[in-house]
Amino acid sequence: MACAMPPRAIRWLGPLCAVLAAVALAAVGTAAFGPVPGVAAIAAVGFAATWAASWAASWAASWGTGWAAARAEAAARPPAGPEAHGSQETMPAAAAAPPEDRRDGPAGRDGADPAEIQATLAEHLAVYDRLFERAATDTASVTVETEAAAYDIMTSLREVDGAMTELLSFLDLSGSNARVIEIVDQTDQQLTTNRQLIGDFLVRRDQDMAECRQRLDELDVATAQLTRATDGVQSIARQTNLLALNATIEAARAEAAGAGFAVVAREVKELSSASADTATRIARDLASLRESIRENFSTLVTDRVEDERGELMKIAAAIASLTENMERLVAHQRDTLVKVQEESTRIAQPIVRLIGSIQFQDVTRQRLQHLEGIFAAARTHLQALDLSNPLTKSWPDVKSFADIALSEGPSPPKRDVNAMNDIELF
Amino acid sequence: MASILLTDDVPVVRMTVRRFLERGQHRVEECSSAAEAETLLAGRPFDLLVTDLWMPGRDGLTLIGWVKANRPGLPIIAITGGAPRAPQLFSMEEAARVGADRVLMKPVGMRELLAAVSALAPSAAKE
Repeated sequence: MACAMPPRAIRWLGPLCAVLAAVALAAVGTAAFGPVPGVAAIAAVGFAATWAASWAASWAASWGTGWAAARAEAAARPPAGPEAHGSQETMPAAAAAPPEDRRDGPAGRDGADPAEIQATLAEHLAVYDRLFERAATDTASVTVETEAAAYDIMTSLREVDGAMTELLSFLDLSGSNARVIEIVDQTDQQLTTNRQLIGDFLVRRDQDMAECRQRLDELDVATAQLTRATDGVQSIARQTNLLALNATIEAARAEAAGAGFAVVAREVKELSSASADTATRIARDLASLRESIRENFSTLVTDRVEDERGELMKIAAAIASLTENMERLVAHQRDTLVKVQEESTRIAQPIVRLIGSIQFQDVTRQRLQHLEGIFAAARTHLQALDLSNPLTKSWPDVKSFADIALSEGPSPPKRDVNAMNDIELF
Repeated sequence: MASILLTDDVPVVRMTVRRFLERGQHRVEECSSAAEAETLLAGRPFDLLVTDLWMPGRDGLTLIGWVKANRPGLPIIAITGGAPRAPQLFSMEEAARVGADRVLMKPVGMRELLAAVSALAPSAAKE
């Protein structure tokens, strides 16, 4: 009988359902592993396959019961000949089971044509083949796309992490503090030197002032001595004038003989008078000079030096203020450095975790490749099921197929990977 | 600072592990196959080898065997996420059996990786 279909061929539909369920579970597992683009599509394919398989199994069950009913009817008739006997040989053991084992249902009573059911099954299985082919292609695409995306992400992350590492290295607390302390020390030394220079200058100016006063006093003494010398000159002039007067009297008493002497006496008197006038002028000029020197010293030296001292004191005060501001600036800078370092470290931690997490791509790739293997095995198995030849006695081994499909896949990712990515400052 | 040769056929894993090692201030040279690794190891000295186990062509187990025969004393860290026909625990046992000094599971953590490097190449790591 051309439509004789061994029930053993039906039985593999059960494991096929299991295989498809495993495919679905694998897809779900992959989807649960992480946010991989396209994995949801694979999961949907798996679920669709499971649903379709359930439907096919239910149809096959109805076909089986229908086929059993047809066989019971044929058994009630006498054998028609060798052809019937031949078909009996192809009848599977399940067909010989007692009627109570053949669970008649509504489908079993409708008398469906086994040849038609077989053709329909072949048609559906061909769809499954195309479906698995499509699923395998999509899975391969997901692998490639995920790898490319992970590569791009990792490239960016590496750049960010490199910049962050450089920043942290630059901001290294001990090094920064040492540099800041060095700058502060240098600045402080410079400012101290400046203050010292101003102090030394003021001391030298005070010494110059004292020396200048001493010279002035010496000059005063010298002019006083000169004034006294002019007094002596005036005294000599007065005595000379008296002598000239006496000489004039004596010349007059000598009458004609003293005429020449009287002329000399008059000349001496005029000279003594001129000497007295000159001494008086010198004394007056010396007094004027002393007064002028004192006034000039007071205005030109003393006042200017005091002004200069005042200006220098202002500079010293400005330097002290500058030092104070510098220390405040340095303290602020140090606080800023510490803050930036803390924040940079805080940002660096999740970046390292992200870099570690990118390895999901490798685990995902392996799991997707495992899935691709399952799809390939399913296709091979489907193609080996030659439903176009109902007389075939060669059926693929369903157990080895199930073993492949249900074999252990790649291990799941470690759950505590983030804890192992904690970083320390280098 | 240790000089480390990194071998893995997956670019993203290479980039990740390399970045972790560089964060530990190690010098890293990378390649994508056991054959390339053998050429590099024959060319100049390294302080440490970090290798994946399952790679196309000759796998990491073969590479570890080659190192044991040709570069004895070179510390080896094997990293593996397993493979469809070689689950992770089986892979780890195989790596240890052929002579890997440390076997780390993928995804690899930076802390455990740098700790393993410090333990296996302490003098080079401190330089």
